Amino acid sequence: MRRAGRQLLRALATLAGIWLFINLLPRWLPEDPARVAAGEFATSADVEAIRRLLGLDLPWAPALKASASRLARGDLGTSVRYRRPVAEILGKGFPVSLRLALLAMGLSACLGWILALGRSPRVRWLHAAAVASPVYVLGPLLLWAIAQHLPGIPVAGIAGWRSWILPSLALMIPLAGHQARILHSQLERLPGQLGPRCWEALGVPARLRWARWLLPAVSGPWLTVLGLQLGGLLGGAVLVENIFGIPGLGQLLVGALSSRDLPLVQGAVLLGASLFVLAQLLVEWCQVFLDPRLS
Amino acid sequence: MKGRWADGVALGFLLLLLAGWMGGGDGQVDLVNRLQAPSWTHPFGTDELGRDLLRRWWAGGARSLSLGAGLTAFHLAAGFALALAAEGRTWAKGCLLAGADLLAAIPATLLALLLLALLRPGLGSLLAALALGGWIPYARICLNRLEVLRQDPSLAQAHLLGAGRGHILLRHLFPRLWPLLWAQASVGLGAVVLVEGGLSFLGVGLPPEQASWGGMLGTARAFFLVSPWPLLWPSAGLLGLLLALGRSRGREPGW
Repeated sequence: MRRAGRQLLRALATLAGIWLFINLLPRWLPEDPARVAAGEFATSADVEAIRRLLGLDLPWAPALKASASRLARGDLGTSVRYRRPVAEILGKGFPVSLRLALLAMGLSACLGWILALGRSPRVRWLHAAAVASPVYVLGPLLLWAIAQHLPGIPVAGIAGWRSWILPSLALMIPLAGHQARILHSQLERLPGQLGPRCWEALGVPARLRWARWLLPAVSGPWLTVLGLQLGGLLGGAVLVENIFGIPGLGQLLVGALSSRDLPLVQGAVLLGASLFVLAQLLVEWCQVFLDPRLS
Repeated sequence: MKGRWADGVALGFLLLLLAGWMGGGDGQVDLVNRLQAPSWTHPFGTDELGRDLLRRWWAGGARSLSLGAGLTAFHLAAGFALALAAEGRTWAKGCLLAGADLLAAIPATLLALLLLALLRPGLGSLLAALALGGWIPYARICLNRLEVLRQDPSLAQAHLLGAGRGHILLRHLFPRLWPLLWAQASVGLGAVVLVEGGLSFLGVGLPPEQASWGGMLGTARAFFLVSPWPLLWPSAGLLGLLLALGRSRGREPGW
C-alpha cells in the first residue's frame, strides 16, 4: 500500500513537472512565439495583442501563478481560435478519441496473442512487418484497398459502427505487432524454466498451470508494453483522426497547430501526457498484483 | 550466418537511398502529364503536379534517411555527453533523470507538435522538434552502465598505471558502452524516421516542395482514386525501410 502511495506521488510530481515545462517552454525559445503567430506583416500593436491572448505579456512568475489558480478551478485557458474554454473543447473531443483508443487497444491485444501463439518460424516476419507498418501508411492503404471496393464502409467521419472499423484497424496493427513480439519471446522462454517443469512433473493439470503460473508470468512484460502503448495512443490518434476525419483530440490538435492556438495545443499536450502517466500508474499497480515479489 | 543475405539487401537498399542526393532534384512540374501510370519515360509514374515519382521517391527517401541518421547521431552524442556530465554528482544525476522522465511522459509526436506550434515552420524547427526528446534512452543507458562500469577494478588499475581521464574514457569505458548504444541507435533511427514521416504527413514537417515519403503520402491520399501510384511507392519505401531497420534490431545479442 505504501508503495502504491509512493507511485501515486511520483506520478503527480511528473505531471506537475510537465505542466511547468509546457507553460515555460514558450518563454525559453530564441524567437518570440507571439511574433511567429502574428506573421510577417503584423504591426507591433498586433503582436502585443496576440501576446496578451497567449498569456505571454506577464513575467513568468505571475503568469504561472495565474495559470495554476485557473488550473485549480479546472480552467485550462481560453482558445484563441474558438474563443471558448479549452477544457470544454477538449471535453468534446476526448470521448471520441478515448473510444477509438480503447477499441484499438482491445483489438490489438486479441491480435497480439493470436500472432504470438503462431508456431511457424515465419511468424516472426509477420511480427516484424506489423511493427514496421506506420499508422499513416496503413490508413491510406486501407482506404485504397478496402473502402473504395466496399461501399458499406464509410471513408471518413463517425456515423454508425462501420465507420470505426478502418481507423481502429489502422491504429491497432503496429501495436499488435509489438505485443506479439514481446509475448512470443516470453512464451519461447517458458518451457525451459524450472517452475513450469516442476508443476508439470507434479501432475498439475495444464489449465491450472496456465491460470496460476504461466499466464501471470508472461503477462508482466506484456502489460508494460500495453501501458506504454496506451499512453502513446494519442500520438497515433492524431494521424488516424486526420486520415479518417474523426472529430477527436487529434484533429483538434492539428487544427490548433495550423491556427497557432497555443492554449489549445498546451491543453491537448497536457491531457495526452496525463493519459500517459495514468496508464503507467495503472500498469505499475497491476504488475504488483500479478507478481507478489514486487510488493 | 543466418540472415546475412538479408543484411546485404538492407545495406544495399540504404546505400541506394543515400545515393538519392545525387539523383538530383525533386522533379519538374509538368501539368499536362498529371497522375500518369508507370511508363518508360516515368518508371514510377507522375504525381498530381506531373512530377516524376521515381525522382521524388528517391530524393524523399534520401532526405528521410539522412535526417534520421543525422538526428540519431546527435541523440547518441547528446545522451552520452549529458550522462558523462551528470555522472558522479548525485544532484546532477537526479536532475537529468527527472528531466528525462518528464520528457519521456509526453508522447513523441505530441512533444514535436508542441514545439512546432511555437516555432516558424521550416527545417530548423523540424530538427529541433525531433531532437528535443530523442536523447533520453541513450542518456539512461549510459548512466546505468557507467554506474556499474565504474566499479570495475580494471579502471582503478588503469588509473594507477597513470592513464588520464580521456584515455580511460576512450579506451576503457566507451568500447563497453558502444554495443548497447549501437543497439539503441538502430531502434532510435527507426523511431526518428517514423515520427518525421508522421509530421511531414500532417504537413507540419518538411515544406511540400521538398519531397519526403511522409509528405508524399500526405498529398497522395487525396488522389488515390484517380491514381494509386503516388500512394503506393512511398508506402512501399517506408515499409521496406522500417522493416530493414527492424530486422537489424531483431538479432542484437543480449537484448
